[in-house]
Amino acid sequence: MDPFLFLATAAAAGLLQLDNVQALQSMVSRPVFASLIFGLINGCPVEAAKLGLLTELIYSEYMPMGGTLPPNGIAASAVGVLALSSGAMNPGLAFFTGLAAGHFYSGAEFRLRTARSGWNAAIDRALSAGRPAFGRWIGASLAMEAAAVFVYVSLLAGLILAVRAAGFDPGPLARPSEFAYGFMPWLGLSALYFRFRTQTLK
Amino acid sequence: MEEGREKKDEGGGLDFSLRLSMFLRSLLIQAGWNYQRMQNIGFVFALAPALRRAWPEPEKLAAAAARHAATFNTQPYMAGFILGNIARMEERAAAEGGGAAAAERIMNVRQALASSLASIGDRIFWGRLRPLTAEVCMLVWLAAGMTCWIIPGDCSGIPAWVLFSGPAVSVIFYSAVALYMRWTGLAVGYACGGSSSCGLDAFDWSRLIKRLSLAGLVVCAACIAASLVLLLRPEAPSSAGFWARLAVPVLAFAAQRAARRAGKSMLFTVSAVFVFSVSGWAALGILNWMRGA
Repeated sequence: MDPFLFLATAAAAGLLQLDNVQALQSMVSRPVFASLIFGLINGCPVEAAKLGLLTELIYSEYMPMGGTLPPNGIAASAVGVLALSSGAMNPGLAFFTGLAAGHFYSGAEFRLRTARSGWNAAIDRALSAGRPAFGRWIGASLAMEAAAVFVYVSLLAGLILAVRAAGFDPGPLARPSEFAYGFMPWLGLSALYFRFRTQTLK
Repeated sequence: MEEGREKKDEGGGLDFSLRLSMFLRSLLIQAGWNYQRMQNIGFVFALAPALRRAWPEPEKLAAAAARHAATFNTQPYMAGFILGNIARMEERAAAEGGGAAAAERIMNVRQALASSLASIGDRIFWGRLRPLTAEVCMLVWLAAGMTCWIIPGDCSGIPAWVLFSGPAVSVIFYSAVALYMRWTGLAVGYACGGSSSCGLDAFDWSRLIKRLSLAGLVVCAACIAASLVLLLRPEAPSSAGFWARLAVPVLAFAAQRAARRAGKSMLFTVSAVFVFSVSGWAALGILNWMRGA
């Protein structure tokens, strides 16, 4: 695996994460779009597009309402595409590993949000002193978020590559994971069908 | 409803430079989200141009900013309605000389609107438009011949424009609605500034929500039908027979239905499918090994 491509993917994930939770929310950070970008960086756009769409379908069930933390589609896509493009895993196993990575990123996001609660006291002090500088807090928040995803994706994908390099062969999991992967489009479509049917009948 | 439309059509007298500045800053309303006060940092950042205009004196400006640095949370695409409304209220409060009563009224309206608009926005954007645009992506891909996400087979040789067409259409469609809501919300909010129902009657939200649900169901049904036709056609690139191919969607629908009835999450269902698959393969392996032994 080319280290430059590895780092470029993690950096792209960090930047796209800003659209995901901090700024704009234009949905270029959705797995279906982000995966394609990661796939183009790593030379496997078609398989990455498929992985992205299936991640999108599975994660569509989770809504970022209020303070709830849905699984992170960017981390899922980036880790999945890196595991796949490096040859460490077959597409099915890379997809499930990505889903797990996106799910566990919620813990990191929780810590980031908790850490930012501590900023309020400093903001209150700055306001009392007449120097609010909200732009600086916003900038710090963006930098923290992008850095967190960059580090998370780098560590997790790096761990997968290291385990593979150490001789661990996920071969026995290849066929069952491909079999389960074949179910995913239909699981996603059925979830959408049941969701919209419930909403329409309400 | 009619009154709401009139208010919307007025444009509200919010001048372009202030509207543009607040609009661009409102794109960062989620930045700094924290558990203690949620969107407070992003909200004050977005409101800052209006506050600076209303309160030129530094100490009054700081006091207004401190008020708005309190807890705030709403659906990000709907924040424009509240920002416009509060900008107008702050202007009026400044013109009347401020005071505790005006400040309390501003905070009450802000809180009331945040909850109501969050509920509407969540149902429109997260609950309907987002999954609907994913369906649009699937339909575009199916129409353009990118079918290997649903039918196992070789997808090599698919041009980049086909790969981008699905996600690009869905992102453009979604973003156009989201940006329109952010931009329009500012003017509508400003036009009816001071009202605690401001924005709630700007559109027929219930009808819009119902139509989006119906559209989602229709597009989903179209995706399922097209996928089934592609999967079950005799020339489909699969070594499995007709019934074996049909078994996959049928089992997936049954699993999804059972999981929903049991109140299980999507990730639970996905994990269950993976675990069953791995354990099934392991059991087959053990059986084969025992036969061989």
